[in-house]
Amino acid sequence: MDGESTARFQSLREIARQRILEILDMIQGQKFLAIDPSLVGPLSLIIEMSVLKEHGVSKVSQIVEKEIEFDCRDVIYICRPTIQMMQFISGHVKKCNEHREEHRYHLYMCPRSTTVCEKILISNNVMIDFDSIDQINLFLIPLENDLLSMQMDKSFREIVLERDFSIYHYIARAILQLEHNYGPIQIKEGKGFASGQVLRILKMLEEDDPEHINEVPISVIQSAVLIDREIDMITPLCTPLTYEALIDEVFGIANNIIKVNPRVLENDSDRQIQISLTSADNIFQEIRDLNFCVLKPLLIEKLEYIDNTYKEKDQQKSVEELSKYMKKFKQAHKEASFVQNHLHLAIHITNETVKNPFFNQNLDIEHSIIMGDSDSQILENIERLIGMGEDINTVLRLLCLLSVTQNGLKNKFFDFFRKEILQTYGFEHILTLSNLEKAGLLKKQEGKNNWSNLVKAFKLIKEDVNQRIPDDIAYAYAGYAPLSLRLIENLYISGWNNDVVRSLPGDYSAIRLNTEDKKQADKPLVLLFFVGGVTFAEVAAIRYLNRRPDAKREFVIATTHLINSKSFIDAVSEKIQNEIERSSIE
Amino acid sequence: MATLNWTDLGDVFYRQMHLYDMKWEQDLALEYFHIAAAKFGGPIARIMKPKSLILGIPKNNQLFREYLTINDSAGKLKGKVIWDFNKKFVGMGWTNDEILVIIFADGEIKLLDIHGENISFPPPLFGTPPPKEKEIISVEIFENMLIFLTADNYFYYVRNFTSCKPEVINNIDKRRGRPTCFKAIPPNHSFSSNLDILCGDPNGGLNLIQESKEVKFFSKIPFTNEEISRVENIALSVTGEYLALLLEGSVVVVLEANFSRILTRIDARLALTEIKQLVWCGTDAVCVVCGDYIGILGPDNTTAHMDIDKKKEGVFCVPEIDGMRVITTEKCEFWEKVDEALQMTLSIGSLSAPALLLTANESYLENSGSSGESIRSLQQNEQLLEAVEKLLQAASAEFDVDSQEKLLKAAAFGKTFLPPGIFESNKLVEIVRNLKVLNNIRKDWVARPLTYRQLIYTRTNGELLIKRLLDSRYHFLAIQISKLWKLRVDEIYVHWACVKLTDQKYNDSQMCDLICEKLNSCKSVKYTDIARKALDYGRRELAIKLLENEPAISRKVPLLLYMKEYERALDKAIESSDPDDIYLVIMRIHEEDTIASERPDYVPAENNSVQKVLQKPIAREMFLSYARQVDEKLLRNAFKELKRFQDAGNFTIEKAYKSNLLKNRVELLAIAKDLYSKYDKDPLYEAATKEHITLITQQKRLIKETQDRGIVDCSICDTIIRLLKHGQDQNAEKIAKQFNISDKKMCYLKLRVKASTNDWAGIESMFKQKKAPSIGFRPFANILVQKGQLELAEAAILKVPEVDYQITMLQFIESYLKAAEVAVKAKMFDVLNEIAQKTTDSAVRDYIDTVMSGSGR
Repeated sequence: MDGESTARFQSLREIARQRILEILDMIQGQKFLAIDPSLVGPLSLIIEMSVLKEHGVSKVSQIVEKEIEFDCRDVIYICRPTIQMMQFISGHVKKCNEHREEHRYHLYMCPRSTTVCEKILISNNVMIDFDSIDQINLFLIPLENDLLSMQMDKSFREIVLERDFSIYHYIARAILQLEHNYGPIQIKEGKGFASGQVLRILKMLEEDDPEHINEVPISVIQSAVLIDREIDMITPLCTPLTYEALIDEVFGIANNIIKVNPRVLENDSDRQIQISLTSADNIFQEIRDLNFCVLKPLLIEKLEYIDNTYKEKDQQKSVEELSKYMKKFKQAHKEASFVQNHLHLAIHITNETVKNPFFNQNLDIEHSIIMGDSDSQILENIERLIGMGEDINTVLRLLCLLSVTQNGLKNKFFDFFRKEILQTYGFEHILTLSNLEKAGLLKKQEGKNNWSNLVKAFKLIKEDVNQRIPDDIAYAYAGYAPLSLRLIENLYISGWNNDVVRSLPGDYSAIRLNTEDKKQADKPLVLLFFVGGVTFAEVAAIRYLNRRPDAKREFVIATTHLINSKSFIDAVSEKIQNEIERSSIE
Repeated sequence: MATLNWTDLGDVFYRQMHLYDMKWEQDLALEYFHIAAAKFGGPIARIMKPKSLILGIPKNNQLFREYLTINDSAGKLKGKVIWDFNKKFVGMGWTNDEILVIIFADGEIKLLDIHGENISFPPPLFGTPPPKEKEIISVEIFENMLIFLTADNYFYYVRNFTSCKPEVINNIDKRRGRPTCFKAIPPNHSFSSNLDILCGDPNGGLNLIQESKEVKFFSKIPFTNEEISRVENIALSVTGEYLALLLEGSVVVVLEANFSRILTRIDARLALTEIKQLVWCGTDAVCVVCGDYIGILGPDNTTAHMDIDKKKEGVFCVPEIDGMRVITTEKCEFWEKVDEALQMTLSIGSLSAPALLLTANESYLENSGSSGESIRSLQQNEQLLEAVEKLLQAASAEFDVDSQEKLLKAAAFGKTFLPPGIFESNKLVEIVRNLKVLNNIRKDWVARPLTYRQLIYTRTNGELLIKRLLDSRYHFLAIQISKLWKLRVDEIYVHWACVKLTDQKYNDSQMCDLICEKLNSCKSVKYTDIARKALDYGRRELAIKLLENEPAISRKVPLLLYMKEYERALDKAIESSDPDDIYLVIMRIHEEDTIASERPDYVPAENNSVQKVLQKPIAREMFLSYARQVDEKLLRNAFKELKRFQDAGNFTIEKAYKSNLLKNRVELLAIAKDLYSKYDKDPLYEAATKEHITLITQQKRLIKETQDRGIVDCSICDTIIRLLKHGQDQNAEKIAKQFNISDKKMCYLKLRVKASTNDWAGIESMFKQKKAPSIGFRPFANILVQKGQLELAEAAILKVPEVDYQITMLQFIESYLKAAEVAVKAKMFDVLNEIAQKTTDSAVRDYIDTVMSGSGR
């Protein structure tokens, strides 16, 4: 990556960071910081704990329902503008007033402050206690130089279950913020209901924008393509096979960090070890998007190289040679711990996945569903998983995959599997079943099955894909090419004005700005915005498209949040604590 | 040009400049009044001192016996307020935003604008009646804050005039006695880098008061050890950098506000006359005002005095950032240090570069020919640029328009001799533009006597000048100036319109036309703000008309709500799709609905607002999500209204599981079942709930037989598994039968139970029966592999019909020989290589070699 693109979106982070520092410095002396749990992760990507301390933060705590003990006069709340948060905060303030504790409260809502929230504070009679109420315009956070995320983990659920418009509005504002910072985006287009809503709102915002985007002298991003996750709910249900995606499946990456059991790393610490997974780790940067099958030999090769470098130590003769060697040694030494870590992670993942026959048996089921094999075998296999009490998440994932590819399950099977789930895993899962049906993930078959047409039209299956040296995006899913990405490829080959694209859910919509063309780079920059989440394997495949020698454009990715097969199902599941107080059983 | 009224103070000059002849309505002596004047040439508020009333000096003057008056710098009346002289007045002052804050001893507080109109009606600071110890003793208006001292020696501040909530800064021990005077020091210049309060101790010395820190007492000035006697008065320069202390015996000590340095110490020797004011004149000199004498105390012990020519008693001085205004009954003057450039240029016999250039220009205009020589000499000495720049500076310091012109012309003349590019022409344009503004606002009718420096200061601090002009309703001037400075004018138009609304001459449609016509030229005007004002004046129809002109949809919503136009508001909110707007409408509708339903005569109206929300798809979902968070009853009603029985059932189930009391849970499940029964699209929900209720009844019964309380609210399968583990096979079969659990399923459950109890023989007998198990062999093989029962696992694997499976699993359990045999049998020779690589067992390798060579590979 060249110098320009490495720092490309860092200014977004810098703006947010400066804003937070400004908020802290406005208040003299020590202050208590209370943060919305859903913002803790995103804010950690913006500003480090140590910097908060330097700027007078005495303590950081999460905003919860129960009282918090404030040890400073000044209390700063940073939260999402939600009714729940306002009620928690009102509760705290009231309690402190009852105890005659004098505090000065400051409230900052992210990404914006809303009148509704203020109204709630007013109706709770605590508005008067706040010294300041303002906002932190943090919409998109750069996770990588080519990956921006709003880090709103609940957004898919909000879209498909609660049908809450807020998220569309936030996305529109996020894009507007990009335009303010990086110039107008000439073409913004999208497919799907959500994309249409976002673009409609964006158009209104642009028209009513006091700082006119056309006055920004540059135009970094040429076009934006919005992809609605509801168009392709298949990909997130599949098992990815790139390194980063598998790390995510096995360990769960949150805000660029994984927490690993020390045993995995052959470390004798008694606490979980945090590993940061970013391009700052140059070994990771090199291997993150590779198919898992090439990983181990590569890492071993690296290890041998490092080993040899160490061994060369005694062979150096002249001063010149020695100084050259020191450079090499330092580099090797820096990489050594990275390589070690990745080797350990890779071994752990191998044992959990590709070397595990049970993982492979499930992968086979998934594979036959994608291939459109005959139902009976698939159904039999899923029934067996339920029978043996396999993890419900896996079972639901496979059932959803079957339902989504076949446009629903046949009536008979739909009822059979729902009963099976309730009887095996518990009645309370009836809520999850209801959610999955509402989300369109698990439903009764209706109308014709379109899957085989899609497979043919979009060449979704490429069994002979070269997983070692990728020759198609299908390398990321071992032969299945993500529909979302084929759709994007298709946009630049034949356009979206055809029957297959039309057969996918949701309409096409677009905003074209009619302003004079500003100077464009040779390779136009295209922003792909995944509304409702993107997987790491999709990210890897997009990076592969960027690396292709015949690439005519460069893609950068934006998303509401990152998802994997587990979190995708979890997001629409209903978490229920089935606990009964013993004494209440007579 | 007048250098006549220049007074020298050391090596600098001070001058007094006549600004206005005062146009007071009645020229009563100022000493009868309490006075407060705003900085930056701002308004002057006056109230008659009660003493003067009693003395009956202004005998027949009704105006001052009844009113507080506000006048501008030229003494023109701007506003008057009826005054209650029975109330104990403590003090008043103008904030930086030019709000007049008036404080009474009982904590009552008044906030007035320049026209004497109430900005708001804040509650008394300590409630009514206030506690006796909280009687207010003295106040200071500091920037946009109010700082005051109460009878119990507590210092408070009010930082926000909308809430007017007093906050304690700190207190001084009552035994020390009441402070003689106090002053706030801004953080950027204070001793502690926080907001400090300095107050004089009655026994001499200074107390330094900081928020939540111990009070510091200084008997001597830090760093210098200067003894501090009783402090009578404290003055802070407007910029906050310098402090002047008036000590007992008329000694004035001037020091830096953070105590780092004493600048000067002067005996003012005025003990005979009472010192009325201690005021900073800019940042270079402190003035003591007593009677008709103003002493100027400069650096290095320099002193001078200037007399005020006045007929009536009383002078009032107003400190400014670069000088001070001196107000008397007759006139308003501005006193300042003469600008260095002006001094260089105008001092008699000056040979400085700008003076030479000025003379050169004069002779050029008179055609006397000597100008060329002067220019050349300036050029030779490379002083021409300096001369031009100094002349511009001098021009900007001049108040007199003719003098400005003369100096500017000379500067422009000099500029033509400069090589191109050396002097930035913009600078000249900028100065001319600003002088134009200054000359206009200094005129009598506006009476804003700003200096050039003050103008620049107000510009860089949020365009204060424009705001002040609007306060005084000089809209046209404000627009002209804004255009000159390329500022936005939309808010000025809105302000104008809001003022215009009070004009009763026009009816609604005339008024709307008038406003729209005027505002047509200006885009991005917020019509909502005007409409809101119209509503405040009770002109509802006009408000609706104005609102139609508002381009931004989401701005309309709050006002429509305020007008209780809920349906319109809802439509607009949906159109904008801003969730904040939609939720705002929903909230208001809910509030109204709640209030209405609490009335005793409440009958739910057909098609009420709530129902209307539920008819609109986007609003409906958001209404439900809102109701879910705030009001369960509202949610249930909405579900009922929408006939969403499934959602209602789901919500009840959710609640059922939030309760961990069994009785509660079962009751809620029963309610959910009833709700589901009305959901005819999918009978499974009702059936499953019914089944679960039955199950719980069964489970309760089973506790007795199993002594296992954990069995309650398990799934059916888990119930059976538990029963099997307890050896209650019969009960297990019964449950299976009752709940239609198939034999096949039972087979799985039994297998799982056997595996978890390590009953390997049991498993073996299950899959080695004559009849193949209904669930096939795979589950057996898988679980045996997982449990590490490899021998038995091998047997099970070999019974699974799929060869691929056999080979994979056999390799996994490292039965390479068997794997190879299977591969050979299935003629899958490729696999043999793979196996050979993995195994270390020579027997297996030999076998493979033999097979390979035998098959000719």
